[in-house]
Amino acid sequence: MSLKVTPLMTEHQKCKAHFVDFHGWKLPLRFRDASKEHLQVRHASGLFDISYMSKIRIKGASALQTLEKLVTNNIGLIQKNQAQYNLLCNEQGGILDDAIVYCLEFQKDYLLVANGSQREKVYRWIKKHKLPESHIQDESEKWAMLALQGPLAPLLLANTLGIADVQNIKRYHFKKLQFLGENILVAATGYTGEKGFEVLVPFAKATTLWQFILNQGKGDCWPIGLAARDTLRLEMKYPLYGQDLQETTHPYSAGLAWAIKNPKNFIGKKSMLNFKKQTKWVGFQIKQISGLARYGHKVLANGELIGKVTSGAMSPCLQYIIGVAYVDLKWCSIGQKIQIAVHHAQIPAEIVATPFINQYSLKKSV
Amino acid sequence: MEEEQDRKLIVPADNYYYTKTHEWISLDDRNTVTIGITYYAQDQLGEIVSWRLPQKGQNFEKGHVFGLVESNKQVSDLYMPVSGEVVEVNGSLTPGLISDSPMREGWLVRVEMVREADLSDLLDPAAYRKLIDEEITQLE
Repeated sequence: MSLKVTPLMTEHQKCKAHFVDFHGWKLPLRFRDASKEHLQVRHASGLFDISYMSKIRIKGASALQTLEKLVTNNIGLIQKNQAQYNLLCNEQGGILDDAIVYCLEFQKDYLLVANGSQREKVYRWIKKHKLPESHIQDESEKWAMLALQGPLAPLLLANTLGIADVQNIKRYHFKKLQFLGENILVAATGYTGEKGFEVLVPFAKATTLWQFILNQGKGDCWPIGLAARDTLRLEMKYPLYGQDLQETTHPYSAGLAWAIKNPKNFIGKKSMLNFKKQTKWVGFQIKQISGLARYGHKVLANGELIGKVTSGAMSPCLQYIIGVAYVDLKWCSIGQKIQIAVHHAQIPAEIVATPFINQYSLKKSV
Repeated sequence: MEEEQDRKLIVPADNYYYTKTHEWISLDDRNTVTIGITYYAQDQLGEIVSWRLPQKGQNFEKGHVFGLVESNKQVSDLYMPVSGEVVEVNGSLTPGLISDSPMREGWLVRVEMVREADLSDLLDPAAYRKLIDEEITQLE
C-alpha cells in the first residue's frame, strides 16, 4: 500500500527530511537533529506540517446537539471563533479520541480536529450518532494544517501575514483571515507548551504559506519533524492518542477530569459518575542512562508490578530520560521511587511533578 | 546543512572493516579491535540517547548480539563482528558523544579476537560504501 502524503511533501524532500510511516502517512520524522529541532521550538520557533490531522465538519441546525451527545467538555459554552479541547468516549467511558473543536458559527457550524490515526473510526462514529439535520463532512483533505510554535511565533506569523492583530489572538481562540484570496483559520492552539498557532489552510495554498513563513523567519524558524513534536509534547505531559490514551483508558485515570464538563447526557456520561479510579497517569524521570523507558514497559515498586509505561524519551531540555505511566493509586505520589523494566534490567526511576519543564512560553510567569 | 547531509557517507579506509549491520571495526594491533557504529548507522537512528554494553571480560561469538543503542524513536541491536573477549568498554560515553563522533570518541568496546580469520568475511570500505549507497537508493 502506498503511503499518503501531504501537500508539503515536495518541501520536505527539498529539506532532506528523514521520513517515517505514521499511520499510513509518509511524514518527516526529522530534518536535522531531532533534539536541536526541539530546542529551536523552545527558544525561537518551528514549523510543523500537521496536515494528517483529521478534520470533521459538523453543520446544520442540530450541529451543537450532535456534539453535545458526543463530546465530554461543555461545548455549548464556546462561541464563534473559540476552540475547546474535548474527548469522544464510548458507552464505557473509554476514550475514542481527543480533539479540538472549533466553533465557526454558534449552534450550527463546528470543525472537529482530531488525530489522523483515528480518522475513519471517528468519522464513522459521528455519522452513526449524529442527529437529524446535522451534516457530517470529512474535510481532512480539503485543509492542510501547519503549526507554528515557539516564543517567536506570534511576531513571525503577524509579519508573514502582514496582520499585526494575529498576535492578540487569545489562547483557544481563532480568527478567520484571508491569505492570497483564500480563507484560512488561525488558531492560538498547539501541542508544544509554547506560544503559537495552528493554521488551517486550503491544500492549494499550503506550500506558499509554508514557504512564506520559513522565508520570513529566516534562521529563526526551522521545519520540525514528528520526533521533536513527540518530545515537545512529552515534556509538557500532553497525552498522545494511541499510546497514552486508548479505548480502554478512562478520562479520570488520564487526569482529564477537567475536560468532562458537558452537562448534557453525552455518550459515556454514566461511566463518569460510577467510575472508581484505580490508576493514575503520572510522570517519572530516570537519571541513570541505561535504557529508555518505552510504551509497554513494566513499572515496579519493590518487585511488585504497579503499572505500565505509555511514553518515554530522552528530554532534550533536561538531558535525562522522562516518561509517563499508568500507576496504581497506592504508589503514585510525587517522590515515589519506582523501577522500570527495560531490556531485562530494572532501572531506578522516580515519580515527579509535571509538566517536566518550567521554562516554556505559555507559562505566564516565566 | 551540507556537511551534515554528507556525513553519513563517510567511510574511513585505513585499517577499518565493516559489517552489513553497520558496525565498524578497526584493527588496533594484531589481536585487538575497536568496535563502534558507523556514521551511516548513526544517521539512520538519529541522536543516540541510551545504550547497553557488555562488561569487560565477557566473551561473544561472531554474529551474536553484544548490546544495543537507542534513539528516541528506535532501538538497534549491536552484532559482534568477530569472536572474542571484551577487554575494554568506553567509559566516557555520554548521550550525544556516540552521535557526534560515532567513529572516534564514540567507540563502544575493544575486543581481543580469538581468530584473525574472522576479519576475512567483513566488508572493506569500498564494499561498505556500495552497501550504504544501495540502501539509500532503496529508501528513496
